[in-house]
Amino acid sequence: MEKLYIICVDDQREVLSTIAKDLAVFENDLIIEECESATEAEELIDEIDSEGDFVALIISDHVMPGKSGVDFLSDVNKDERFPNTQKILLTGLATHQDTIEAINSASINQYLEKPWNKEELIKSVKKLLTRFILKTGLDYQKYLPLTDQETLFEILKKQG
Amino acid sequence: MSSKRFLQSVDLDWLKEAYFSNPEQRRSLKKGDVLMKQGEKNDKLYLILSGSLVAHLTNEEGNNFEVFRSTTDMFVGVYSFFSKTFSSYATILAEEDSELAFIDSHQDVVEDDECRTFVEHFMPIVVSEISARQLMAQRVAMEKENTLKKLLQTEKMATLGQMAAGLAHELNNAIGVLQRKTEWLSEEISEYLNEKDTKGMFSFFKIGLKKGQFLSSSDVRKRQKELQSKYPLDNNLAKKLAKTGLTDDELLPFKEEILEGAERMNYYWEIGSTFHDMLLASNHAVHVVKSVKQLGVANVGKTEDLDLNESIKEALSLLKSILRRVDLKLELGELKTISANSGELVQIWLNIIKNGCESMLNSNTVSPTILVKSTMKGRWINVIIEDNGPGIPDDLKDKIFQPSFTTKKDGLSFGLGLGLAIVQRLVENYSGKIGVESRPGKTTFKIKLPVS
Repeated sequence: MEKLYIICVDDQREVLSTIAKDLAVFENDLIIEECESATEAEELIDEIDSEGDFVALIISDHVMPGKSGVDFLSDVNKDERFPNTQKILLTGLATHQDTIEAINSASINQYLEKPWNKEELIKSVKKLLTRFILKTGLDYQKYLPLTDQETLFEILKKQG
Repeated sequence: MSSKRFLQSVDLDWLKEAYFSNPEQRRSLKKGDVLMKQGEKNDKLYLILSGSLVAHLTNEEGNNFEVFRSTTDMFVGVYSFFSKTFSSYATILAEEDSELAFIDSHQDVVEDDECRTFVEHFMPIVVSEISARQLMAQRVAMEKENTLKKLLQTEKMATLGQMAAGLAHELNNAIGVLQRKTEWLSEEISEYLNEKDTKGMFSFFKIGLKKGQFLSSSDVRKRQKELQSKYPLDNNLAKKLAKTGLTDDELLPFKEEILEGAERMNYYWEIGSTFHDMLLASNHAVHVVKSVKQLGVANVGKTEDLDLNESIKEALSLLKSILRRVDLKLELGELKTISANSGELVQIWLNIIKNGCESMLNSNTVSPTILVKSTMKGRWINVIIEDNGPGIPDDLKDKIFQPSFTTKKDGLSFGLGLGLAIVQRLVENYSGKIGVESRPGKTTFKIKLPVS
């Protein structure tokens, strides 16, 4: 079976491991990867794609040394290999301009502010994973623990 | 500043001789005598032969202020005399005993070789008097503006300081509780696990507590693959074990139990490393609050006979972790002692060195080096802190000492933007000076502090 990945990107190691820990509930059904920079994440998603696996969701910080989160997510957005990859910007400090950029060029799906709430994060992740699974045409029956029932019904109803 | 400068083209001596040599037209003033009163008649032009006069003006609001001050070889009564109002706009009195010579409005022209008119004779004087007074007005305006600027800055700092102190006080208790209780809890759990420890799991907790996650995310991935090549572990377990950072040798005693024990090992390690992060984060928070408090409250408690070099060493020891990645050159000279608060001195060095290190590391400077040098020069201690980082961009140079200026925007590393504002304030409190020179590859902070 193809593997699904969630990529977490944050330059602060303690923050990164906290995000990953919050997402541990998904551990049995997908792989959670931690990256300390956008460049590292880029290499990793290349690798995942070449293995034929899926980058389902990227959760990225914005202000990082080197490439910023918004720039990274914009590039992913333009990349034909990841048309359905869902994107969350998780940041403590973004200017108005950054936010506009994030919506317009990176088409982020969700904007979460630090400090984040665990329940809210998990709910958003479930919703976005559901979208990814259905958009990609994967068999959602196999991924039920990852999906959000409400979103699932909503989309299936629309598809008729 | 005097009107003499403008008179170089005129022969003042000739003018004096021609118009102001009549012994009948003299006046002596004792100190405090009034020559003319504001608004009253004056049809005379006076030349000061000796002494000095001062002019005051009372405006409509009743405020009294000085308009000019004149000494030997300068003229008074210029306005009332030449404007033909024959009325003085200011009150002029003698600042000291003075000798004056005068001409009045009926004065005839004294003929010279070039047949110049009376106006031609006196024009340079009128112009130079007006210029001198205008310059004085400008100087006063400038001084006023500077004072106002300083006042505003002081006020800004005072308001900011009060706000900061209030905030710091509020946060101090909350963070203090978190820090203390985290420490207590980690010790208790440590003890508990040590007693209950049957399968050697305590050592995993301890390693986590001591080091936290010291492997980078990419190192974790490498180690995960390595582990998977040695043991039949799935991705998840291999990753968990990799995160602990334990080497093959350290894992050897647990070789038999790795397959079923990896989850537990990671569990204990993670509890430890969580405490590690909590302690780290609360210490950071305590540090931030302390720094903010420095800004708000003038610190008392100076120590006499303080060795400034000791404060530099203390700052360096606080920066151990960041200095591991930077080459440090230390050149501490023999210094006279200073009367200061050692905590404040540490704060100065800490902020500057930390900034330098962070700018070098964030910009991936090749072989980052920081030089800290102290020397004695007369009654001044000079400290130089130099890095080979990218330098401060020109457009930011003016701003680095302003409160709330920061280039650091996120995360646990502290970017309140108060660092250099605090430094400047502290240095100024010691009647010291701080300056910075910066270009790519070399940024130098120079601090001068006077010995008592």
